[in-house]
Amino acid sequence: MHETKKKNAFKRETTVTLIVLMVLPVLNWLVFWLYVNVSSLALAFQHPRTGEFDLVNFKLLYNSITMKGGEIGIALRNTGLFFAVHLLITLPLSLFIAFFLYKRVYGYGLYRIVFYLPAVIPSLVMVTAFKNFIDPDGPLGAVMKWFGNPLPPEGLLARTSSSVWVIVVYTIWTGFTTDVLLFTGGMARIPTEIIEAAKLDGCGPAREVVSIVLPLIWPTISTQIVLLFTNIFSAGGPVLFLTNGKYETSTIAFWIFTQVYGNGQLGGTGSYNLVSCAGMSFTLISVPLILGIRKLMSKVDTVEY
Amino acid sequence: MLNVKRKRRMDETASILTHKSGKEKILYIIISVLFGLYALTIVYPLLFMIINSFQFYLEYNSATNPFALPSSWHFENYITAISKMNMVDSSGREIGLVEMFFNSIWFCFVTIFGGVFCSACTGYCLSKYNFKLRNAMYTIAIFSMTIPIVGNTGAMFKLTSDLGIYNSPLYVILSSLGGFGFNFLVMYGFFSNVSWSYAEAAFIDGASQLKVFFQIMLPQAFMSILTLSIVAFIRVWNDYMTPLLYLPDYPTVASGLYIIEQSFTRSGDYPSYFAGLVLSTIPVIIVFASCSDVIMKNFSVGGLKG
Repeated sequence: MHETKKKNAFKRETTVTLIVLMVLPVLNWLVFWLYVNVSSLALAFQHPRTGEFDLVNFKLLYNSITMKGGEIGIALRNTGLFFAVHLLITLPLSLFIAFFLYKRVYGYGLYRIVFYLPAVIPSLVMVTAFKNFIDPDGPLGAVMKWFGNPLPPEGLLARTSSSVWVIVVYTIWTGFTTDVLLFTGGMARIPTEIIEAAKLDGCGPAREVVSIVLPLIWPTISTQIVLLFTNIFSAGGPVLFLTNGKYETSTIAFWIFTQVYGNGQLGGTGSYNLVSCAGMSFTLISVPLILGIRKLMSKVDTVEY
Repeated sequence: MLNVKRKRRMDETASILTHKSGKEKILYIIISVLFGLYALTIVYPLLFMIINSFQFYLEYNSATNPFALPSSWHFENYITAISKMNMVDSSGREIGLVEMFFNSIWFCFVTIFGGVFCSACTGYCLSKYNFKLRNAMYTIAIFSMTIPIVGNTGAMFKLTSDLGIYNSPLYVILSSLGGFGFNFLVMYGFFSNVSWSYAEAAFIDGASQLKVFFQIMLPQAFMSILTLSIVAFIRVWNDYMTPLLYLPDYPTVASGLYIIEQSFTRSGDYPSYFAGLVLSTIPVIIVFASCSDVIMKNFSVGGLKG
C-alpha cells in the first residue's frame, strides 16, 4: 500500500517535472514553427490584396522565374552558382586544407586559428575590409595599376559582368571555416595505429589520403554534403553588404529578405504572399532532392573504427 | 600520472603525423607557404582597416597610396565613433554605438540563455524520461531539422506583428526559447550517455526530480553547454538580419553600423566608422581567443560532441 502510494507520488512528480521543463520549448515550437509554417502555407494560396484563396502567387512566381531578366530567375541562377561553388570548390579545398593541418604542416597551430577567423569576425567588418581591398583606389587597384591593367573606375562590384564573380571569390575566401574545422576534427580521431601500420607497409602520402583518410572521415564528408543540399536555397554570400542585390547579384535568401525588409521601413513591406509561395515551391523541390542525396550517401559503405 | 601518459601519447601521435621524408618536406614547405599567403589575405585587410581607423578622415579620403601609414595617428577617431556616430530610430531618437553595444549584449545573453537552457531541458526529458509523446517529439525534432522550410520569413513577420512583439525586446525573449534545433541534438546525445544511477542515488536520498536536473545533471553538461554558448555568442553577436527585420529600434552593433554606413557619402568620416567596426569586433575576438580550444576540440562529426 505504502509502496503504491510512493509510486503514484513519483509518477505525479514526473508529470510535473516534464511539464515544468518542457512547457516553454513546446509552446515555442507550436507558435514559432508549427503555426508559422502552416500560416506560410496558407499565405501562399491567398490573394495578396483580397485574401481569397487562389493561385495568383504561383502565376506571379512562374512569370518571374521564366521572364528574361526576372528577379527570381536571376536569384535562382545565382543561388545555384553559389551552391555549386561550395560543393565543387570550397568543400574539396577544405578537405585539402584540413588534411595538411592534420598532418601538422609547418605553422599549423597558427593557421587553424587564422583560417577560422572569417566565421568569428562580423560579416560587415570582413565585407568592409574586402571592399576597401578591391576598390580601384585600394591595394588591389594599386597593384593592378602597377601591372598596367587598372581596375575599372566604378569598381568590380558595380558591374554586372563581374559583380557575381566577386561575391563568389568572397564566399570562397571566407568559406573554409566550419568545413575545415569539422574535417580536421574527423581526421584527428583516426587511430594513429592505422597510420603507423600503413607507413610500416610502405604506404605513400597519396595512398594514405585515398585509402585511409577519406574512407575513415566519409561520415563527416557525407554529413556536410547532405547539409549543403539541405540548405541549397540559402546558398549565397552577404549580398546585402556587398551590392544590396544590384548588378544582378540577388539570391533566393536575399530576395526573401528584401521582400519583407524592403528599404527598412517600420512594419516591413507587407508583401508576404509571394515569399510564402516561392518558399513553399522551393521546399517541395528540395524535399525529394534531400531524400535522394541522403539515400545516395548512405549507399557508400562506411568504416567503423 | 595520467597527464604524463597523455603527453607521451600526444608526442607519439605528433611524431607519426610530423615525420616526413625528404621529398615530402619540400611539398610541406610549399603548402605551408601557400597557407601563409592565404592567412595573410585574411589578416591584411583587417590590418588595413585597423590602420585606417587611426587616419585623419580628409587624409583617408584624398589618399593616393593605399599602402601608406597615417602621417599622424588619430586615436580620437575612437572617441568620435563612441560619442558622435549614430543612427536615427523610427521616433527620431538618436542611437549611438554605446546603446548598440548594450543591445548586442542583452540580445546575446537572452538568446543564449533561452536557447541553450531550453535545449538542455528538452534533451534531458527526451533522453531520460519515457512518456507518451516522447517518440513523436523526437521524430518532429529530427524532421524539422532535416527538411528546412524555405521562405517562412513573411509568415513569421506577420505573426510578430499580430502578437504585438514586433520591434520589442519581447520578441527576443519569446523567440529564443526554442528547444528542438541543433542544440537539442547535442544535449540529447550528451544526456543519453549520462548514467541514470546518479539520479537514482539522489532519489533515495530524498532529492526531487527537478533538483536532480538542476543540481546533478546540468552541472555535468557544463562543457557541452559552454561550447554551445560560445558558438551561439559568435552567431548572435554577428547576426544582422534578425535585428534589421524584427527590431529596427533596437539596433545591435551588427545591424546599427550597417545603417550608419548607409547614410554615409563618399566623403564621410570613414576612419571613425572603421574605428566603430574595430570596436564591434573586439568582444568576439576576446571570446574566440580565450575559448578557441573549446571550440576546436569539441567539434566532431556533423556538429558537436554529445
